[in-house]
Amino acid sequence: MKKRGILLLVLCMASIWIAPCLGASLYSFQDILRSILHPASNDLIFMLRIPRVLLGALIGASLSVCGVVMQVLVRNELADPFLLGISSGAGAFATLDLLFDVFAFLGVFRLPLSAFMGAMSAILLVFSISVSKGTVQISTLLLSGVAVSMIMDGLTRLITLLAPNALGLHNATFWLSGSLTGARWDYLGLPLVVLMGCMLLLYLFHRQLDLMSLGEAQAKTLGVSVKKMQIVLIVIASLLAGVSVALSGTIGFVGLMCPHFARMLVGSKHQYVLPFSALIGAILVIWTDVLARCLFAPEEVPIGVLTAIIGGPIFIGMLKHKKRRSK
Amino acid sequence: MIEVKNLDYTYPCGHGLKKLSITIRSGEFIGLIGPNGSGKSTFLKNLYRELEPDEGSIVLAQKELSTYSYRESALLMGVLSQHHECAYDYTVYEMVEMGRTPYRESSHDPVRNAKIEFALKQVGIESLCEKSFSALSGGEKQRVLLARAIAQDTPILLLDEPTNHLDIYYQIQVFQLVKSLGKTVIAAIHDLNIASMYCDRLYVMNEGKIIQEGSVEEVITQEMIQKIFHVPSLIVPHPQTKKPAVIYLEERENV
Repeated sequence: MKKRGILLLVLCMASIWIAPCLGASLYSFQDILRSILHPASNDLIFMLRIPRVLLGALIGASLSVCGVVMQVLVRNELADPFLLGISSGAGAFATLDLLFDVFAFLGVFRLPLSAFMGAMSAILLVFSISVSKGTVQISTLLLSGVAVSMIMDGLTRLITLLAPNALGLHNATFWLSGSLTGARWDYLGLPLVVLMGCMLLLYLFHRQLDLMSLGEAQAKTLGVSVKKMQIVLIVIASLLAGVSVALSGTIGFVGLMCPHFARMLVGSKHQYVLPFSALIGAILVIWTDVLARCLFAPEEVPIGVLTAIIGGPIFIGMLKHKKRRSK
Repeated sequence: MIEVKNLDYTYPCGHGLKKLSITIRSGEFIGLIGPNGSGKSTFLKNLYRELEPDEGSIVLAQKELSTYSYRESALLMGVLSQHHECAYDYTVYEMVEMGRTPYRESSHDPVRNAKIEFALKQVGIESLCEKSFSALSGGEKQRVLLARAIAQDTPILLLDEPTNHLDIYYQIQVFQLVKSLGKTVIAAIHDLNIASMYCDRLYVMNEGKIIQEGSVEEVITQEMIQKIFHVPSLIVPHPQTKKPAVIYLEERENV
């Protein structure tokens, strides 16, 4: 376990080091090192490439950890930030702000805050529909999640249709498809703080997360206050998804695939699943973004499009592999 | 130790518990018997807080159950239910060590690890430790969950039809083991012979109410079995324990 953890950490660090070299223009390691040691405001590597790679790592880790949280909440390994409308809600509110400045009063963090509010609204709506006599009905939860997700996607489309100008519409559409373009150093603080805070909290509760995977009844008999835990997890998932969507649009499949990869590597204990998922998510988004930059250079492909195209077949392969193993 | 007064619980379909009152003393082995849907599991679910009573009170160690935190009640009551569900793939050892979660111990704590080893040994599943829980048979899973309840080390054990998936050898093993632990036990049991062999007192439930209560000899009678289960029977003394043993008879006119 320790060896695998160290290997993954080294892989992640190496990815952060190598990825800035790759893109429409190629750079050497010396260029990267020089740029870090002597940063200049007109240096493309320092001002664009490095923050972009770091933002990719933070977003990948956040989405992946959000996936773990969602999978615990609904006790289903097919859950991800999109399943319960959490990303769609964040997307709808953020689009509203992007195109109509609705949340301008929130100041400098208006986009992440509006995305967080969208994510919270969606997940609270889903949970309020599916609670009966104090117990969450998982089947109703999943179905209402799909419905709320569709409503939020519909709202997003309506908002974009009503867009006041063509450029804003183009920007919003590109952002919605998932993109790390425009990453800046000052964008990194918020996702870093949110990710670290959420990881710390989740790590403190790692045993409770294991028990939540057994279902509400068993979790309660083993000492978990399920309702409180669900609220904590909803807030954490909304924060992680809200901040990620606000800074990079909707990037699919990361939250679904990475927890799976982590469980394949380290089993199901959340003590290990959480850090491994975060590292795998970071590595996956860094390299998918490299592909997004290089594939049709100098044009860029939205990273969300690539994660869906690559992630879909990988996920199907994983499901088949799992099915064969269980036989 | 446990005092239940006028407990009411109604499912949306209208079934449930009606004004149920039970008093259980420390160290007693109580059996709940009755036909399917009589409310045995519902009563236990109210005790182990999967369901919240509509009315009435459950007092545990002189304190209302609803005032305990879930952690506090998990330190008092261990549960072996019919649920085997587990969304993810844990090993047998990981499942058993979950029983120690309410104690908030470090994973290196020697007391914790000794309790887990003891539970694994008691149930005889040491050899399954590294196996995946989801790959086990129903009977093996039930034994793992029993080991988890033993590792939880609580003064009260609630058993909700604990031997559903077990063959007769393991059924007897489980009850012998639970009895030897000397804890207060409340068990919903379908097998009247098992109930007769291991319980100190029995409560007969039907349609959400307690119909009869008393010692094994008072409760297990031909009349009760005919009235509650609609099955003719013959009661004979068990050759070893002299407790009542039930022989079920066919309804001659229907054969």
